[in-house]
Amino acid sequence: MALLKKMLAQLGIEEERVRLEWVAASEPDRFVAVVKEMTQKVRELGPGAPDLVAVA
Amino acid sequence: MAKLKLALYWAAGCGGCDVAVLDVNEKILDIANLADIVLWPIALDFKYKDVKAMEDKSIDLCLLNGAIRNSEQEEIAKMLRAKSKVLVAFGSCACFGGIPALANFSNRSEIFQRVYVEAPSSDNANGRFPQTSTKVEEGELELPEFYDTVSALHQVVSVEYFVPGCPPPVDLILKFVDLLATGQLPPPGTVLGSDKTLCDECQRKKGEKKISRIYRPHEIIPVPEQCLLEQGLICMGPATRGGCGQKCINANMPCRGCFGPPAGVPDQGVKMLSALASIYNAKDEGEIAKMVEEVVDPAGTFYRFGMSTSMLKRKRL
Amino acid sequence: MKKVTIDPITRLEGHGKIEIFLDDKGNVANAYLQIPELRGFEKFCEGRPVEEVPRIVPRICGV
Repeated sequence: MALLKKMLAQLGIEEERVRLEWVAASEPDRFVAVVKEMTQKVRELGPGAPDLVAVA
Repeated sequence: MAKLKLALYWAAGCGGCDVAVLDVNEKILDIANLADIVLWPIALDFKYKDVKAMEDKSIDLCLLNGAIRNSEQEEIAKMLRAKSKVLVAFGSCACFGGIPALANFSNRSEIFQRVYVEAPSSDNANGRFPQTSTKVEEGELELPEFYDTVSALHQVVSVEYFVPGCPPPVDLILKFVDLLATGQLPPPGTVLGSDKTLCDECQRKKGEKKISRIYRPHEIIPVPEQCLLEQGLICMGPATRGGCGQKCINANMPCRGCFGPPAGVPDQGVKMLSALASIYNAKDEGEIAKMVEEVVDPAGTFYRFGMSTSMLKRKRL
Repeated sequence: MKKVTIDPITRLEGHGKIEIFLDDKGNVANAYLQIPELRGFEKFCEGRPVEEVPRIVPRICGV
């Protein structure tokens, strides 16, 4: 992840756009919290990569 | 049998692919027997207006090398697509963007500023930049539009075959010519070369892949028989299509991925990143941080030849 | 003014175009050589490790 973030930074993608979390099925509250946080963060950052098209 | 009409064209390339075709040496005579060349700027005198005058699909085979980075290259690519039965993305630039696609870390404005103003060899006190249209005393001059982004050929027109390599190895070129001559061309969309990775055909001894340090190529002299990745050098082998004859490996230099991703791998860079991370022995945050420090230019190394066909294609504008 | 265009110039490495303007007598009034290509090596080598540059810049010219 750290290496990925470094590479994405070179491509102009903020590191907050990528996150790795381990959430068990028995941790529903944590799941909700993480998703909410991430959604809010990405919304704050605004639109990301232009036309991220499926690679041919 | 009527001779095939053959065209070779270069977009944002270096001429290396054209020289590679010449490198077939005496076999060029076989090609001459097989085909009439109707366009080949490096070697012959045909002009764009000659191509414009050709009928659609009258060119049997067009080998187009170089990436697409300005409006003229796009226009000629589209013209050759219309005039050609079979269009081949020839060489890494046409297949994946190649070295010129490293410009996707930048944009027109930055590139112009550096090239025409800041570069030590530029003498341009007035800061004049090329324009698509310039009025001179006698009339008007035109230049193509320089795009912010470099594209691979198939991102601009449809392509039947891909011959990768920087440049494509001579035996791969001959293999393609042979397939064409004997009517055994593979299905359209095929990338020539091996379907497997370079690692698969690499002759070096492979042992356990566990490293605790990554070296930059100038920091060590690698042992000739052993896998380069195991010696701590970043070698793109695991994320690169085979079929090149491991020329760089044989020169004791790690692969930089010019054959593009192996079959079934959409993004070469993340494949390599993943491969590298999986063999690095890092037990804690500190060791992870050390590893990240040791990879000095991840995007530029993992996407050295493949920026245009990477998932993100370019640095955010 | 009559304009004669030579496009592309051939049998060399690179892209070039020549525009020749002729006066009424058919003599050359002026001629312009244009280079309709640029790749930007000067810019995209910035940020690359120095030891990789000798593997990048040979792609300036393959001839």
